Amino acid sequence: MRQLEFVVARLLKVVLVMFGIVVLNFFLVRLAPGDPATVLAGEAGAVDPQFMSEVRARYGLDRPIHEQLAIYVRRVATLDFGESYRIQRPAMDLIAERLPATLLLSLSAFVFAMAAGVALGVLAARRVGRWQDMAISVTALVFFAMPLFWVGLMAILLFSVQLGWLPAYGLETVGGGFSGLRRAFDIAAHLVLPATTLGLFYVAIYVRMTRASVLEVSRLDFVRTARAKGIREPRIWRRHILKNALLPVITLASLQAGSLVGGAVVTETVFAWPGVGRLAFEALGQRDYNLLLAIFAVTSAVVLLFNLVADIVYSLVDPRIEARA
Amino acid sequence: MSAGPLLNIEDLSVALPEGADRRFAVQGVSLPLGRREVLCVVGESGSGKSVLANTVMGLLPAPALRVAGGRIMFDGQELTRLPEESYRELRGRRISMIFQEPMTALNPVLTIGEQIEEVLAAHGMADRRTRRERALELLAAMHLPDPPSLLGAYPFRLSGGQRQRVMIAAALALEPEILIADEPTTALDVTTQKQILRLIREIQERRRLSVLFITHDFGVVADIADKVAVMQHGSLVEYGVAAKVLDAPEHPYTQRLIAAVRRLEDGAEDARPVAAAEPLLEIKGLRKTYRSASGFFGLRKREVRAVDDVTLTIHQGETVGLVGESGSGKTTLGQLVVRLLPADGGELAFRGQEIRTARGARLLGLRKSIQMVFQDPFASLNPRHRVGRILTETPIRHGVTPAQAATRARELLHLVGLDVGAYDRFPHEFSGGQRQRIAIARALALDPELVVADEPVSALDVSVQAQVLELLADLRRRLNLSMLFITHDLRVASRICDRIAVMRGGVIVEIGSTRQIFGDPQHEYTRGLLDSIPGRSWLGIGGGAPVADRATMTL
Repeated sequence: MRQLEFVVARLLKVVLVMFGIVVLNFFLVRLAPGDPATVLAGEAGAVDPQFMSEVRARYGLDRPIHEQLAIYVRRVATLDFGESYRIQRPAMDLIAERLPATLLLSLSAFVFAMAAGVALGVLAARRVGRWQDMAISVTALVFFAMPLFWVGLMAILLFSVQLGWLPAYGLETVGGGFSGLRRAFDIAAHLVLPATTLGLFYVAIYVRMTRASVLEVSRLDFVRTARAKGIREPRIWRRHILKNALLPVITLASLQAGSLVGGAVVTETVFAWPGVGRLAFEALGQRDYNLLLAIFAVTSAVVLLFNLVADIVYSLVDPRIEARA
Repeated sequence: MSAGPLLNIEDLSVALPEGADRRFAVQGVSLPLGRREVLCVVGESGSGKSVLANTVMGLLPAPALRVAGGRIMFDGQELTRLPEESYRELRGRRISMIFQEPMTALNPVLTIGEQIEEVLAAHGMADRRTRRERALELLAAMHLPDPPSLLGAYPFRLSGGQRQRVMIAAALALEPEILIADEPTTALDVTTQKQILRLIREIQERRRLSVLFITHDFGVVADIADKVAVMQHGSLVEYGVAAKVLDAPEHPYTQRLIAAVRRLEDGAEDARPVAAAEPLLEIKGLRKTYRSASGFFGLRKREVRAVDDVTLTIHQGETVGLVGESGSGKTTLGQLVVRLLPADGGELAFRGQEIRTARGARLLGLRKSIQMVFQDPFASLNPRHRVGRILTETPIRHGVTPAQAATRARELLHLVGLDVGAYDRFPHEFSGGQRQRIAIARALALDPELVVADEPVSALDVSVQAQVLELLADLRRRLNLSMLFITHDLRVASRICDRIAVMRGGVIVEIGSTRQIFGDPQHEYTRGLLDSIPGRSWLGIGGGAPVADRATMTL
C-alpha cells in the first residue's frame, strides 16, 4: 500500500515537473535572437516585410506571447507539438522516427558503462593499492579525459579502416536490404563502435564511484559483524558489501541515464547515427521552434522517466526509503 | 576436558604499523579466561583492549595490525596460526562477538531475520524452516517484542537497545562457548544499559558461557565481572578477582582510574546558597516542537514535542544540571537557551530582559553573554584554524582589537591549563581532553555570564573527564560563572551541579538540589535512573535502602 502511494506521489510530481519544463523551454527558445520567419525569409531570399508577417501569422507568431504560451501548453497536453516550420511535418513524427535509434545507442552505451564500470570498480576496490587498481583507474581516467569525437574517430580508424572489422557509420548497411535476424546482426555490428565510444566516457565515473563506495562500505561495522558471525566471504561481498555499496551507484545511474539521451549529439555526429541528437542540432540552427520544443519535451520526459524508474528501483532495494519519502 | 582455562592468551603482542606513536598495540599480554567466567578488560582509549578482543576473534585489520608474538590457546588449538577457513568455522559457532555501536553493527538493507539466520546457514544449518524457528526462539529469549513480525523488519525500525538484543541473539544463535563483548553498552542509555547487562549476565549463567567483556567503565565492571584485567598503553598492569581489584587495587594506574570514578560520585559538594542570588536566566513555559512531513506529498505530519512547557531558573553563579536520556529534549533546550534554535513559545529572560525574540544587535550582544561548549571536541573546532585564531576570531568580531584579543587568548590558555605554545598549533595536534580545554577557552573568550555545556565530558576518558570537570568547577568559582550543564550521566552531574533537573520526553519531571536528587528522589523516573547507574552498590550511592535492595534482587 505504501509502495503504491509512493509511486503515485512520484508520478504526480513528474507531471508537475513536466509542466514546468514545457513552460521554461517555451521562453528559453525565444530568448535567442531571430525567429523562424527571419530564417525562412533568409533562405527564400525574400526578406520583405510582407512575406515575414505572413509567415508569422501562419504560425501564430504575431500574437502576444502569453497567448502563444496558452495555445502551446494546451496543445502539448494532447501531445500535439505542431509542425516543424522547416520540414512541414508534425514534429512528433520526426522525433518518433529518430528516437528509437537514439534510445538504442544510449541504452547500449549506458548498459555497457554500468556493467563495465561496476565490475571494474569492484575489482579495483578488492585489489586496492595493487597494480590492478592502478591500471583500472588510470585507463578509465584516460578515456574520461579524451574528447569523445577524437576517441570515435580513432576507433573508426583502427577498427573500420585498418582492421576492417566493423562498419564505420550509420545505423545499418545502406541498400543492404536485410530483414529479420540478419538485419538485427547488421544493426548490432553498426552499434558496437558508437556505443562503446559513448560508454567508455562514462565508465570512468562508474569505476570511481563503485570503487569508493565499496571501499567505504567494506570498512563499516556491519561487515565486521558479518565476519564475526563466521559468514563466508562470497556472501559477505554479495549481501553485505555490494548490496549497500551499489545504492549510490544507482542514484548516479539514474541521473546519468537521462543525460545520455540528450548527450549523444557528438557521438551521433561522428558516426552519422540517425538519432534525435543530430535532429536537435539542426533544429537549433534553423530556429525551428516547434521541433526544438518537442525534442526538449521528449528528452525531458525520458529523463524524468528514467529518474522515476531509478527511484522505484531504489525504494525496492533500500528499505529505509519508505521511511524517508 | 582439561581443567585449565578455556581460553589462554600467552605473551601476546600485536604490532602497529610503522610510524605509529608506539610499536605495539598489545604488548606481552598473558591472560586466562576460565570456564563460565566473566572477565572484564578495562582501559582507557588507546589501551589496546579492543585490539586484544579482535585478535582473539581473528579480526585484526590486516595488514595494518598483525600478531607479532605469543599464542592464543583455545581448546587445544593455537588460534593465531589457524588457517582462515578453520577460523571462520570457529567464529559465530564457538566464539562470538558483539560490538559497541548497535546503530551501525547491523546491515541496514537486510531484515533482522536474515541477519540472524545467516549465522545458522553459514555453519551448516541447511533447512530454512529450522533456521526460522531457531531465530524466533532466539528473539523471544532476548525478550524482544513480537518476534514473528521482527523477523521481517529492517534495523532502522529498532531502537538502540533492541538492536543490541538482536546482535546478542545472532551471537548466541549457535550456543558458543565464548562471548566477546566490546563495549556493548557504551552507546546505550543507562536504563537500557542496565537491561542489557542483566540480559548478558542471565544468559551467561543459563548457558554456562565464558564472557570476555571489554569496557572503560568501572561501574559496569562492578556489576558484571568475576575477574578484572586492567590495560594501559597495550600492557596488562593488573589482573585479579573483581572484588579485590575494585576495592584494593595494587597498581598505581588502577588506583588512579578507580579514584577518578569514586571522585565523580562523592563529589556533590554542598550546594552553595543561591536563593539569595539574583536569577540570571529565567525559562518559563518554553516550547519547541519538531515537525516532519512524510507520506503522500508530505501531507502526513509527524510532531515531536522536544521541549514541552519547561520552566527553569538559573541564578547568578549557579550550575544547574540537565540530566536525561537520549531523545529527552535536553540538547534542544540548551540550544533554545543559546538561541541556536528558535522556540515556538514561552518566555526566555536573561537578566530580566526578554530574549526569546531578540534580533540583530541585541542578539549579537546576547551571544557575548551566553556561550556554549559542545560534546565532541573533535568536531567542534575548525581543523583548519590555529588555536589562536579560534580563540580570537569572535572577540575581534565583537570589537576587541586584535592585539588585546591575542593577549586575552594567551591568558585563557593559561587559565584552562594549557601551554601558551598551543596558540600557534592546530586542533589535531591535541588530545581529546586538551581540545575540550580549548573549546572551553573559546567559550570563555567573550567573558560570558552563562555557559551552556552540552555533554562536555561525554567523549572523554574517565581520568580526563575528572580533570575537565575539575577545571570547570574551578573556573566557575573563580569567574563566578553560571552554567547549564547538560549530561546523560548522573555521576557526572553529581560532581559539578548545585541543582539537577531531570528531563524526559521534553518535560522536566523533577528538579532539586543535587543532594536531594541523589538522596531522596521523588519521581519514579529519577529513581529508575539512579537505579541504573552501573556499579551503584559498589560505589554506595543512591537513595535509601529499599532501592538498593531492589537492585540486588533483580541482579
